[in-house]
Amino acid sequence: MSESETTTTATRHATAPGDAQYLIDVRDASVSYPSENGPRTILNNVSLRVRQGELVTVVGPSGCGKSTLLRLVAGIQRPNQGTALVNGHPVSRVTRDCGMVFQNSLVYRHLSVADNIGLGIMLEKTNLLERGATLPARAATALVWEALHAGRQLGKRVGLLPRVKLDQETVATAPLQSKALDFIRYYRVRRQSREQAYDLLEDVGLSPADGNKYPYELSGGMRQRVAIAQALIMQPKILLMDEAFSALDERTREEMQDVVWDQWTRHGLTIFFVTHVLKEAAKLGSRLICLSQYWVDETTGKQGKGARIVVDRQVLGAAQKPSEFVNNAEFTTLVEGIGKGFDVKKLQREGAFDLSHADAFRITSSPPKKELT
Amino acid sequence: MLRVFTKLPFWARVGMGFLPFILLGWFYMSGANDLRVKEAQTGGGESAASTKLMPLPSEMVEGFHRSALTPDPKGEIRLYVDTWASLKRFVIGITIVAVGGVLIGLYMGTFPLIDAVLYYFFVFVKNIPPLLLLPILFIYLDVGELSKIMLVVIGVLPGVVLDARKRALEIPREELYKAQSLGATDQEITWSIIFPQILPRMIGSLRLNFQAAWCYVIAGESIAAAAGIGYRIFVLRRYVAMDVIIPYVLWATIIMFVLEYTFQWLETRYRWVDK
Repeated sequence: MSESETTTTATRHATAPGDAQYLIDVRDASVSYPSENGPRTILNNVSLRVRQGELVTVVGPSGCGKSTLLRLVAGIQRPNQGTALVNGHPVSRVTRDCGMVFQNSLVYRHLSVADNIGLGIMLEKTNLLERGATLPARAATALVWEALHAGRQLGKRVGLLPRVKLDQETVATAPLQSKALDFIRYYRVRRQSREQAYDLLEDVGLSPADGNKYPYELSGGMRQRVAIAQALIMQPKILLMDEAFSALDERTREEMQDVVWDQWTRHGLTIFFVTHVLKEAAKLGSRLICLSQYWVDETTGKQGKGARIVVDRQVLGAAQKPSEFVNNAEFTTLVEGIGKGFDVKKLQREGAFDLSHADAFRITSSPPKKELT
Repeated sequence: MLRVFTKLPFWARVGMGFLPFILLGWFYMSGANDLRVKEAQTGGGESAASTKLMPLPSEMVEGFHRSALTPDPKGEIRLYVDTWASLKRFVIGITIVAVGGVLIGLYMGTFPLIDAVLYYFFVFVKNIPPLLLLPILFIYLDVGELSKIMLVVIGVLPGVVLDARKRALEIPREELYKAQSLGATDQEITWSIIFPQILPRMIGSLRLNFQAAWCYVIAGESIAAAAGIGYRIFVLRRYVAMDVIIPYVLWATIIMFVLEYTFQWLETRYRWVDK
């Protein structure tokens, strides 16, 4: 068995506490949605453990529950049964532990590239009041407060308003002054966040000139780079990527794979990468997981409901180099079989591969471009 | 010619845009001229009265100057007094709608609990014909300013609320999850992520509601007011003073036209919308 553990047994880890050595620990998680024909099971007793620094790619056909599994880890979705732990703690909501990159380059279209990337820093450093309004509203508020303050002072000078004692006056004007200071501080924090964003631009393959552009001025690939930088700037424990490159053309997709690979090798990130493209999953991942609706219930011998992990392979070990990979014909057959229709059940029946096999494999058609350092 | 992909130069578009106005003017002037010819042939009588229905531009300028721009016995210039009175009602009403409507709609689109409480209420209120509420408003709130402003608010607010809600719901939930993963609280998601994105749409929504709001102001004034464009037109109606009524209608249209284009310009400031 590989270090990574996959199981379909329902009783396993049922009540065990979170294991700190696993950054992601999904235990017997099942997810089902109500539908017209009764509850539809998406995930069925899925268990998965991911160590820090792994680049896990999850592959499977459309609708097999890949994104649901990612949403469990992210805290967007709660399991009907089982648990999902991140860093040893049950996930109940979205937290800063997980950075997210979605399909369709979801960057905030009302913010410039630099502001998009620096948004997390802004949110971290400014308080709710400052963030609770848009820029014009903030400017207007500050101006109104200042005008009121000036009006009060003028009114007192010319005798229209009664003069109050110093201590009362200090109390009365303190909020006004703090508003003005907040306004100044907001710009200072914004400048800092933009500086940090500019530092990160080149890391993800963007030029400093792109910093002031708006998302609509960028190509799909560039927007996705912004989305990755936006997540990376917060230094999350896990980077969750859901079909992040599926809307991109082949060439841009390969460029973006390089960006992810580069970030993984340089920063030792833990990445959970969901894709329906097998080639991409095999090329990019240090570990490949295949989710499939095709599996046979061990007790009944019938087709099971919902998706389970049917393949979990270490594609690239942390200490291995691509040249040391085993060119395994069995795994190539599996990859081809999965690629044709993800009909793992049929392949199993035909004895095309043995799930208990746990050697390191390599996809002959697309070896990883870069070596681990 | 009449083809789907015909591209017209700017001057041609502007020139052709004037065509309907020219045609309308020509029809009006023909009618006015016919009435005057008939009057000259019959030597007055009924025709003399009917010429008042279609005054010539020179008569309108003269009538408008006399009635609206010359100080009345109280020393007030009526056009200024009426415009100020109507605009005041309109602006206060629209401001309440803009602030309240966007705020309520934003929170409904963001927080399911608030949506669950308010959605059907606003759908119901939206379907009440506002003008039918006018007598009720006059009874409850008297015939002062408040009833007219409330008519604008009741008439326009539900639509703006539901539009703001819809716009907020249209924002992909993934954007909100992502903001959460960057450390944003619910309020921060509301004000830093959703509000800036729906703002341009809401400017457009308000712009489209200007016409309705203006109608409600005029309708309210026509029933009970001491000043206002609607009030003046309905007073002048008794005297069939078309030489003043038509310029007043044009003036009310110009005010809306300027407001409409100002808000259209505001919308274009947000270049990222629809891209």
